Amino acid sequence: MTTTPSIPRRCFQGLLVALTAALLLFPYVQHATHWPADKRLGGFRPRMDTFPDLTRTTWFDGSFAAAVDLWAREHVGVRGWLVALDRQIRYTCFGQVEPSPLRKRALVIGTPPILYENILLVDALRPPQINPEKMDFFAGRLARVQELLKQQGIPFVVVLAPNKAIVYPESLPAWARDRVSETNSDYRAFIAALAQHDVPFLDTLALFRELRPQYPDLVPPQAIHWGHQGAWIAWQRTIPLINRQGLLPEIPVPETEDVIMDKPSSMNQELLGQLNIFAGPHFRTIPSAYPVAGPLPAGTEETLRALVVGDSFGFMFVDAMARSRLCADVHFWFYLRSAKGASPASFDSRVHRGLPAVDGLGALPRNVENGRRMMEGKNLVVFVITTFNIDKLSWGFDRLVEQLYGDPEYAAPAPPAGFDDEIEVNLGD
Amino acid sequence: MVFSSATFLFYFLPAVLTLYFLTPPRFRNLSALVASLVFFAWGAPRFVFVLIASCFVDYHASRWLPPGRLPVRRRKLLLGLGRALDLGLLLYFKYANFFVAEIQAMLGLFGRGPFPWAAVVLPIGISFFTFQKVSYLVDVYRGTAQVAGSAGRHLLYIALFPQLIAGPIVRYHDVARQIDQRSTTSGLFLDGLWRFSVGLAKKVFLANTFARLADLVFDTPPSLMTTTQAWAGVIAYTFQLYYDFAGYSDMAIGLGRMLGFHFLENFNFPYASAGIGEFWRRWHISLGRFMMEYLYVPLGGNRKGHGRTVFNLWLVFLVSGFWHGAAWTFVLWGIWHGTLISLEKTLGPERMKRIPRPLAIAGTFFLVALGWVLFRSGTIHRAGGFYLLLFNLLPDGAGLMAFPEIMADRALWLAAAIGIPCAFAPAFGLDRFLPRDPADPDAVPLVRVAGRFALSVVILVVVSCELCATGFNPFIYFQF
Repeated sequence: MTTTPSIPRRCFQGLLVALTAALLLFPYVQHATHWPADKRLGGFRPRMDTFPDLTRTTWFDGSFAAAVDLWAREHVGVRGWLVALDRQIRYTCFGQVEPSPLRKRALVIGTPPILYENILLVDALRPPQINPEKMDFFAGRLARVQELLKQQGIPFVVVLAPNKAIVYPESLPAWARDRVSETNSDYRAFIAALAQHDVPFLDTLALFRELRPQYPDLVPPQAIHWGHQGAWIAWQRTIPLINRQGLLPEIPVPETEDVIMDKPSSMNQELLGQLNIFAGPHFRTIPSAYPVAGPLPAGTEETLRALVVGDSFGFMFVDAMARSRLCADVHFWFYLRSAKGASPASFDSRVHRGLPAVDGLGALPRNVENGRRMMEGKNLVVFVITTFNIDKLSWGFDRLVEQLYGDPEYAAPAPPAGFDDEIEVNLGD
Repeated sequence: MVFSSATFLFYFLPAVLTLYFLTPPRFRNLSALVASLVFFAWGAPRFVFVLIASCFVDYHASRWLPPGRLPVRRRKLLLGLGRALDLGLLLYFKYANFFVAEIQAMLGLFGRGPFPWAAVVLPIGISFFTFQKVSYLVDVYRGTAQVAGSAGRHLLYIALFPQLIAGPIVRYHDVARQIDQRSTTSGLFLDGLWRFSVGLAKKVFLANTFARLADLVFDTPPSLMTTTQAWAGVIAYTFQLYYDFAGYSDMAIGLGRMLGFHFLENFNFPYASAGIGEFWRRWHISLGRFMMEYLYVPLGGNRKGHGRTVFNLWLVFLVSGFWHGAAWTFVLWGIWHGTLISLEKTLGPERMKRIPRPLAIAGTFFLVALGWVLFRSGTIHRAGGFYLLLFNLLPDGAGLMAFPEIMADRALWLAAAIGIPCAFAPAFGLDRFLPRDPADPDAVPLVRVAGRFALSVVILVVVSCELCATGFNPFIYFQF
C-alpha cells in the first residue's frame, strides 16, 4: 500500500532528485567547459590523449569498449580533484601513502617522521630478483660499454645511488624495520658482478653507511633522494674513479670550503607533490646541509663535458657536478627519454650560495640519432642508478653505445614488462 | 560494463537516467531496452545477437506453451526444445573449454597429442540470464506466468541491465506487471539511490579492502606462508565474497528501483545462519529459489522418502557448484555443500535445535569458510595444499613479505570492525539498528530521506574518488 505524498514533500524530494542529476552530470559539464579548472596531478600522464576511434571492427572485437573504459578513467571531468581527494582521505584516515594514479610508487613515513620511497623499501625486503646469469650478462654489458667508451677516450663510471631504507633502517615502521636487509636486494650481487668485470663503480650504500655518523644530511629526512651533501660526496668520490682510468688529464677533487644550511623545507613539500594531496601534517621545516665548493687549484679549467644517464638520483648529481666548477657542459639523459641540462654548467657556489638550474630540454627518446647528439663532444659518462633499477638493464643504454661505437646491428634483449609505465609516470613529475 | 567503473558511473548511468526520464512513460520500456542492450554489448558485442536471437526463439516458443494451447506431449516437446536451446548455449559457452581440456588430458594419457581447439569466450552474465530464460519457459508451461506481451517485453525482462549480469535471478511473473506498468516516483528514485550507494560502499569500502589480504594469501603458494596467514586469508575472502556479491545485489536492486522495478532480495545476513540449510535460504536467495523450484521439486523433492531427499539435495548442490564455474574445484565445492546439507537433513531439525545457537552459527560459518577455499583456489592441488596448511599438516613457510604491512593497514581493521559485526548482525541482535527498506518510500520521514540522501552523496563522491584513482573494479560473481 502506498501513500500519495504531499505537495511540499514532492517538492523536497524533487529537489533532491534534481541535486542527484546535477551531481551525476557535473563531470560532463566540467569536461565540456573546463570550469572549474581541474587540479593538475603530479606523476601522471594520460595514456590516451584522444577519444578512441569507433569502427565496426573496434566495436565487435571489444577494443573500443576497453579503450573507452581506460579513456573514461583518465579524462572524466574533475578527475584531478577526485584523485587528490582520494589520496587525502587515504592519507589522513589510514596513513596510506600512494601518490600516483598508477600506483607505481608509494611513500612510507617512518618514526620519527622520515620519508622513504616504498619501491626502495620493497627492494630491501624482497629476495633478489635477478638470477646470476642475467646479472653476469648485465655487468658484462656495462663492461662492454666501458670498453667502447674507452676506445673513444671517454671514462665511464657506474654510481649506485643509496637505498635509504638500507642506509637508515632504524626509522622504518615496525613491520619493516627488522626485515630490511641489503642481502634481500640485488645490490650485493650487482656489486660483485661489476667488480668481477672490472667496471669502475661507486657503492654509495656502503659509503653512506660508513659516513652517516659524521654527515647527518646525506639523505635528508624530509626527502626521498640524496641531499646536496650526499650527492656532493658521491661526486667527490667519483672523480678518483675517473682519474684512475687515465683517459683524461688529472681532475682535482674539489674541496668542501664550508657547509651551510640550505633553505629549510618540510616533508609536506615532498608529500604534497608526490602524493597529490591537499595538506599534510608535517609542517616542520628542516634545513639541510649544503656543501660549498672550495677553490680549485690554480690553472684548473672547466674541461669536463659530461653526460649523466640514469634515474631521478641523477638530478642532484648533475647539480653537484655543476657546483664543482669542473664542467664545461653537463647533460642528464633521464631514463634515456628526456634530456636535461645544468645551467650554468659550471657554477660557483661560493659566490651565489644557490643552485644551478636543471632545465628540461625536451623529450628525447632513445635512438641512435639522439644518442649521437647527446654524446657529441662528451668526454665523461656517468651512469647513476638505484638498487631497484638494476634489473632495467640500463634502459637500453648499453645497446645504444654498442650501436654507436661497436656493432651497429646489435639488438639487446627486450626490457622487462611494465617498466615503460613506470618511466611515463616518473617523467610526468 | 561494471557498476563500479568510471564508464558506468560517470557516463552510462547519467546518460541512461536522463534518457529514461525524458522519455514519455509509454516509451520507457524501449529506452530501458536500448540501454540494456548497449550495457550488455559493451562487454560482449558479438554475443548480443545470440542473446536477442535466443530470446526471440524463447518468446515464440512460449506462445504455444500455456496449458491448453497444444496437446501435453507437444507442449512438453516444445518446452524440452526451448530448455535444450538455452542450456545448450550455456553448456557450449561456459563448459566447452573445460570438457575439451579434460578430453585432451585423457588423450594425453594414451599418448595422443592435443587436437586443435579455439577457446570459446564466455559471454558475461550467461549463467544468470540462462536461468531466467529457463524459468520463464517453465513458468509459462506450468501456467504460473503468462506469455510476455511482446518479444520486446520478453527481451527487456531477460536483458534489463540492473540484473542482467549477476542477478538477482528474477522470475517473469515477479516483474511482469512492472514491465507493463510501473510508477517512478521521486521517493522510489531516492530510495533506489540510497540502496545503490549502500551497495557501492559494500563493494568499494569493504569487499575491496578485504580483497587486499585475500588476494595476497590466495595468490601465493601455500608452502610459502604460515598457518595463521592462511586462516587470515580465508576469513578475509569469506567477507570479501559476501560484501562483493551482496554489494552487487544491492546496486542491482537500487538501480531497479530508480527505474521503477522492484527486485526481490538476494541476501539476508547469511553468515548469521545456524545451519547450512538456513545459510542457503539467506545466501544468493534467488539462486536457491531457482534450484528449489526448477530442479529439486521436479526431481521429487522430499516426497519420495528420506534417501531420495538426501540424494536430490546432494544432486542440486552438485549442479549448483558446476553452475558457478567450469572447474573441478566448483564441483567439489558443490559436493561439500551437498554433503553438509544432506548430513543436516539426516540429523533432523530437532537435533539441530539442540545445538546452542551461537555454537551453531560459529560452526556454520567455519564450514562455509572452509568451502570458500575451494571456491577461490582455482585448482584442486592448490586447494589441497591450502587445507593441509590450515590444519597444520604442512610445515609453515617463510611467511608472506607483505602480510605485516597489510595487517598494519588501518583501513583493513576499520573494514573488519564494520563489516564483521554487520555480517553477523541478527546473531547479536544488531540488525534492528541497521537501516531497513521502507515498505512505502513516500512515507519515510523527511529527515531520514534527507539523511540518506546526504549519505548517498558522500558515498558516491568518495567512491568516485576511489574509482578515478584505482581503475578497474570487477565483481567476483561476474566470472560465473
